[in-house]
Parts: sequence; C-alpha cells; structure tokens
Amino acid sequence: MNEFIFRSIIESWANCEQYGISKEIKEPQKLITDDELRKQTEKKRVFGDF
Amino acid sequence: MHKYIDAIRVERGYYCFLVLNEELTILDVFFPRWINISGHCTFKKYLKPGVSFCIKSVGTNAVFIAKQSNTPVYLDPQFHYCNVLKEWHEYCVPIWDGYKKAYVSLICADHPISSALKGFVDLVAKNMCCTSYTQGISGTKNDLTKKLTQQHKLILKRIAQGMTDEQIAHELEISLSTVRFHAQNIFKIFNVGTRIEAVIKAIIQNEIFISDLYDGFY
Repeated sequence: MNEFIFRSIIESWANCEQYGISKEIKEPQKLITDDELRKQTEKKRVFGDF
Repeated sequence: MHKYIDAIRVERGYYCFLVLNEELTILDVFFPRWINISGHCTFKKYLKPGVSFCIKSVGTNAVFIAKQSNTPVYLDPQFHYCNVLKEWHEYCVPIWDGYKKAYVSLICADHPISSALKGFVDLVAKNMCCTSYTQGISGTKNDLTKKLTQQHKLILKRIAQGMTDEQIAHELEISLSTVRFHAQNIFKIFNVGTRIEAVIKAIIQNEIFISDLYDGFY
C-alpha cells in the first residue's frame, strides 16, 4: 500500500468519526431515486455490456 | 458479463463484482452463477443497486479511496471503518469511459482476493473503458481466431503473463525474431495493436483463460 492511499484511509477514518458515522451501520443508504437509478443503469449497461 | 466470468469459475468463496457510478452508487451487481449467496446475509443486505458507497453510507471502503486516489485500491478488512465491512476484502479500479468516471469493484467475503481475480478486474475495467472493444467483442466469435496455431497460443499465454519477447524466446527456445514474427501475426489475427488488447480478446474468445495468466492461485 502506498503512502498516499494509506493517508487517504486515515483521513477517511477521521472523516467518519467527524461525521459521527456509527461503526454498527444498520442499513446502507440509498441516495438515488429509483427513476434516476434506472436511467443510469440502462445507460451504463449500454457501454458496459461486455 | 456472466459468459466471460465463467473463465474464473475456479475461484472459490463468496465474491461479487460491482459497477458504481461517479457518485459511488451501485448500478449493477454481478454474482457468479455458481455462488450461492443466500447464506451470506451482508452480501444480500448491502450489495444491491442504488446503495451508496460514500463514506456517509458505509464508512471507509475501497471505492471511496479509489475515487480519492484515482488509482486501483485493495483494501484489507481491517481498514474498513464499519464493523460489518470488516470481513470484506475489496479491490476497486476506477475507469473512465471518455465522459464520466465509474468504478469496478470486487468484494470477497471470506479470504484475500487472489492475483487472478485482481487481474480479471483490471481486464474488465480496461475493457469497459474501451468502446472499440465493446463493439468488437459483442459479436460472435471471430473466425480469424481459428487461424491461431499452437505456437501462437504458447506465445499468447506468455504475453498474458507479462513476459517480454526476449523471455518468451528464451523459455520456448526459439529465436527473438521468430517470437516477434508470431506476435505480429497474433495482432493481425485479433486485429489489435497492443499486447493487452490481444490478451483481452484472447480471454474473451476463450483462446486463453484467466488461470493462464498466473502460475498459481493460492
């Protein structure tokens, strides 16, 4: 693991604590509407249909 | 995806592939058909389209770090912030399709991700950001590949393993110019210009397999 990635991990941990994120998450968040997700998924499948 | 993912059927354990958008939202989840995830509750609960992998949602994870660093990132379980992710090994590769960033991530629940699987994710990511490939590989198997000789395949496998022409010549006990001659013919057969393109097309067309890329898995 290079130093930059390691530093990013440390900062990310610090941010998690600062945001008060629980280590015991109950359910991951969905931050996108179903409509928007459907649009993006269709678009992604066009270029990602490998 | 599934027809190509069969190439790595030899891999064991609970693992799956994710495609995420620039905002770190899961767009697609691919579970290999031979993996029964019903016994793995965190996979079912967390890995579904629409779930966000930003840190406010699931804490520190490889996708977020890959976005920060803009490089492929392997995250060992202990580096995850949230406890439920601490059993996950995660490898994420950022991709650029010419317009937007996206991410391909592999999550393995029970043991470290092998070099073969990481190599596969690299190839998938490379494949996804090359639209010319998307067109080229979506059709039926190229008849030209029937022209591949046994010698071509021996050389292709070694190219896939990252060997130089000199190393291939030494290992196969043939001259350097012969290796270069065959390599050029391979490029012509696959209609490609680089070694990585030849390897990707060869894997996709089942001329060589992921297991050929590495000497051993574990």
